[in-house]
Amino acid sequence: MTYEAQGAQQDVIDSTAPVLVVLGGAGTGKTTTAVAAARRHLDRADEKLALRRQAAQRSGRRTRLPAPERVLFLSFSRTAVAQILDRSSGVIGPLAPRLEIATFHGFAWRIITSFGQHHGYPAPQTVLSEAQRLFEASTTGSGLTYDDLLPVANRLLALEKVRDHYSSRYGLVICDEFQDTDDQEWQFLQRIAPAARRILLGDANQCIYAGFKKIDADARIATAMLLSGAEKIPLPPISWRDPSGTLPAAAEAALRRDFAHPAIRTAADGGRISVTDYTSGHGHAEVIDLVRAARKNGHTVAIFTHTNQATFSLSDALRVEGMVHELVGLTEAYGEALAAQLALLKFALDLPGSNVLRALAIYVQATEQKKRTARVPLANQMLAPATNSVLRNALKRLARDLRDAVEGGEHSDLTRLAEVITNAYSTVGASRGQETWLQAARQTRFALTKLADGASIAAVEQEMLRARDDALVGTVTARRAPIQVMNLHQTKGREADVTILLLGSDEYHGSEREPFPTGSKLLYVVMTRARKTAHLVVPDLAHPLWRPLVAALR
Amino acid sequence: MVRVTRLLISNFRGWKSLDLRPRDHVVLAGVPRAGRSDIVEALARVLDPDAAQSPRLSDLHQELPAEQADAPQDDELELGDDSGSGLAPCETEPLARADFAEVEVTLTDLDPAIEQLVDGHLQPLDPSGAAVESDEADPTAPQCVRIAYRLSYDSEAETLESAVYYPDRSNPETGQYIRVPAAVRRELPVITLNASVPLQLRAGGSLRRYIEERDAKAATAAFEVLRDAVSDAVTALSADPAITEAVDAVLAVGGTGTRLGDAPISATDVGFLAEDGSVAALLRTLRASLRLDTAGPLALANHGSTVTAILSMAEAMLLANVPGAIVLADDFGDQLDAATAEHLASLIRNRSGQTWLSTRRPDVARAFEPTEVVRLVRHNGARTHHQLPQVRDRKELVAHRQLHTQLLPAITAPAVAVTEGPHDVAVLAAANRRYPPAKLPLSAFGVRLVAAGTGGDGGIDQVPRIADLAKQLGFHVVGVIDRDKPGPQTSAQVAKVQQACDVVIRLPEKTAIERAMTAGVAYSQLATASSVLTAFGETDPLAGGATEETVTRLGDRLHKKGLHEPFLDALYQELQPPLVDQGEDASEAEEEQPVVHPPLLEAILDAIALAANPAYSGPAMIDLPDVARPTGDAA
Repeated sequence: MTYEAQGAQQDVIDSTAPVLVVLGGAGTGKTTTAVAAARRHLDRADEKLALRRQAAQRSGRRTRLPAPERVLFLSFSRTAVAQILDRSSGVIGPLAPRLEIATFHGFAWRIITSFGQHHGYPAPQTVLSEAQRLFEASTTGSGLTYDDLLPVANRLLALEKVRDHYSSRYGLVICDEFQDTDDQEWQFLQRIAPAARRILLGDANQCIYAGFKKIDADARIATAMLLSGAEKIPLPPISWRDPSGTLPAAAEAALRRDFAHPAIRTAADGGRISVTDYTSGHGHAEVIDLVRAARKNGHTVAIFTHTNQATFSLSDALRVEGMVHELVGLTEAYGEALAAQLALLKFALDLPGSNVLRALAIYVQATEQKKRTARVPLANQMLAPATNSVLRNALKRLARDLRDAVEGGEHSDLTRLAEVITNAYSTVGASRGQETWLQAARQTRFALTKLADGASIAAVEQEMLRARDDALVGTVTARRAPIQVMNLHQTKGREADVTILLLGSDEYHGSEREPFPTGSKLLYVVMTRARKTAHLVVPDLAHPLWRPLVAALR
Repeated sequence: MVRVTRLLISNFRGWKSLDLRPRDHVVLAGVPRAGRSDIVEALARVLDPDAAQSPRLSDLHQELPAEQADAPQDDELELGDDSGSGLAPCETEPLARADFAEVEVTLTDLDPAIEQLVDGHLQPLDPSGAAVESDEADPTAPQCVRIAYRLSYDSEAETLESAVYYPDRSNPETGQYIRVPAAVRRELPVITLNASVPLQLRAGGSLRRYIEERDAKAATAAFEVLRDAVSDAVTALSADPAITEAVDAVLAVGGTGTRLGDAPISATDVGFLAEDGSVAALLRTLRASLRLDTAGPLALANHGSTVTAILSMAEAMLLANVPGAIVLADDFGDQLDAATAEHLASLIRNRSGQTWLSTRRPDVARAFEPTEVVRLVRHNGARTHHQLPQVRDRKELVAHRQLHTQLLPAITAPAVAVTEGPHDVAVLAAANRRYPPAKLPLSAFGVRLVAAGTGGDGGIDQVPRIADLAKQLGFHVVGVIDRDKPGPQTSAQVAKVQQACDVVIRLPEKTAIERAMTAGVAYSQLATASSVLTAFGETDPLAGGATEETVTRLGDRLHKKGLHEPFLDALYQELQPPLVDQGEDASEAEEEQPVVHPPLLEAILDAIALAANPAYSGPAMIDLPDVARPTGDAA
């Protein structure tokens, strides 16, 4: 896709303001414009540096020149930005290596691994997942929980040399969806290369975490405008995603809960937004029909569900139908699946410290947990198999299969071992989440081929653990597929030709009542992700948040 | 400016292990085959992807298995550079070859651009120059980065594998490497001298690098003009009848032109390209030519090695100038005269961020501070390195200064004999010069004569100072002292000398160098030799007859006027037996006739040769006995 800046977008690119707040609705091209601004910034900086270098050469004096500048692009979802970058690779061009994309937690993790080792956080550090925390006997010194990452990184950034390192690295820091930052994230953002320019991308209408993260989008935008030299450029409400403006207009109306607005009618009549009912089951059959139709037309599809649980079960249903898809955002389940498979591998090779039952328990916890604080029964049984005879027998079989696979010499039959590990999912007996297990199994198979090529098990183990850490801090992107499945809260910044929202009958949206000031933003977001058609798949009794919209569309 | 603070080597070539912490610049000097070139090559393997040689099996350290290594080796006495390296031990004794070789370099004071390229691998640096491994480092410690090179031999596949990696996150034992991309290594400001011919426009040449650093766009434009002009000229050439007619003739043979292409072709379809038509290829073919004198322009190669050497140094310095580069040079100064060598070495030292020169020339070492000298020696076949400690007070500073004047000329010798003053050196050296061919001179024993002082400041108290310096630099040290003033103070002085030296040679009682010349020599011969003093405007103390008293006065006179050498010359003439005319055989007989030396001088020289051998195991104090004058002798 070739990108040409339109109107106010050009002002964003041309601006040299120390702090630039860019506000725009969904689909107004904020991210792509920011990438173009990054490119312009780097071009300008390079030109300046080239002149200085030339002058230094000609003067014949020793001159210490600054490093070429880089741009840091912080976002909440690395995949979302990566997706946009992929499509706009022509915008950044050969400078792509100098545009570094990271999530807040991923970047904090990078600071910790780069500088923590010698300043209080000895290597090897690992990320402790929530599930793992419930099963660790004692919290050992070398693990950091997800919630530790930003405070620890902030502490390291207080060291002069760490601060200086990133100050000389970045000339521009871009923050996507900055209205969603909580106080800790906002503070962290200020500490990275404090003198570097800032481009803050935001949209108050898309703040869907407000209750959940205790943040106030409007207050955050106001704070940003108080930063020294701050300027604001609003992008006009024309959606480049849907240039007809039909869906954005309907979404605006839904945000205001003005369901009688003609825009909603127009969208429904034009077939841009549709409602499909389901009376039994989970609506999987209906979703699958819609996906099939969309794929037949060559459209990309994004499916949104209301919980991680629902995402897992839908993913399993798609798998049964042979539909290759990408699970977005289920990093903990993926990371712990890797750890569990590593444990199985070590068990098969009869290596000490495999701790296979605990690893499986943590994986089950990561896929099954509803609350962060309670252990799920299956995970507990995993630790004490005597309490569940079916599970015990299955585990015994798995143990035998694992050992059989490597029988007859070391690493003799790693292909078979890979197969046993891949299929171990059925033994584990989790009710959902096969896709994460299979995603992890791809990584494990890759590790096994390295083992077959002569790499040591220690090397393979370290690599798998690193992959797990990367997954937990969100720096990993899953394999791209034209069908993506995700939790509603992962939808921001994403787009697809066709979107499908699968609503459940047991949805929870806090204690909010009509007019749902925060919840309505969710309506806005999901209605603005589609380039062509947005589908709603709804149960008999939808949550009051959605009910009037569903009624208006019928 | 970026510099190396530590060089760690294990099992690379002749180095079994080395942990070198340079101070500012480094000049590598020392005895032959002690590993100068291997250090420069080790650095290049890590730092300079373009200059490093491709790995060879011989890069892996090898040595005799332990039981054979214990046997005494006479390495120290081998002559010449590398003369012994090709001599493999008996074929039946297999050498133990290391499985891998490793070189690790710690760099600090990085340019901002480099610091960002090695992002994620920065470590704090401790004051000794090593990277801090602790998890509670001083937060204000400067940053460093470690880069390592590892060469390993896969005996099954019979292949050599090498990797350049960040050791902080790699584990070679498990085969996990975080490799340092070649692009990152190319960004390191490292310049290897002697690597290529100077004044090259081809890619990779120093001149080309400099041209591009000045103004890459203008350079590209200029090169394109060249390409277009050459292409035009070649097109014109292709169309010239002198060419086309010949080409047509070729194509006409047996209808060749009609069978080659889809349609018949003629000379108009045949063109020419200079090389492959690219700018890069054209630039590769260009050679510099210089007009230096009336001979007119000549290709660079025809002007001789000195011109080439000077120009390539100049280029390197220009490149080293702006970024404050690390400059590596092996055997620096070999092709240069002494003055140019010292001048260029000091220029490079002053302009570069850090210089690593290996040299066998004292003149090159003279351009460096004493603490920058890294002297390499071999002890029982194992290589070691020696540096002077950092100066802590003024006294040490004075002692270090003497290094330049006294020890530098001896820098490549394994042993030094430290005498009290310059007269001792002059006399012993003059006697030593007369040794060959009948006897081996001191140089054959790897020992060099050194004076403790430069004149008035000599004496027994200076010997320990120079001896200490020499010991710190890894010399085997022989002290040569007088025994002229007995007393309790002297015994304390002697004890100090003994402490500082490996072996001490003490002249007989009441003997300084002047008496050493005359001891045991017949009065008649002394009297004749002594008459030479009159030629220097001095009265001859022995003119009135030679007695012990007048001979002592002769010694005083020689000492005061510094006329040792002319007297010794005359004395030698006297000492030689008169030539007997043997007709045609005369010259042959003369050669066989050994030179007669003053007996005590000969004893001193023999004692030095004996004590200079590191394997010497006799008494630490060799007291030379006095020599009696031939009896019945009178003037």
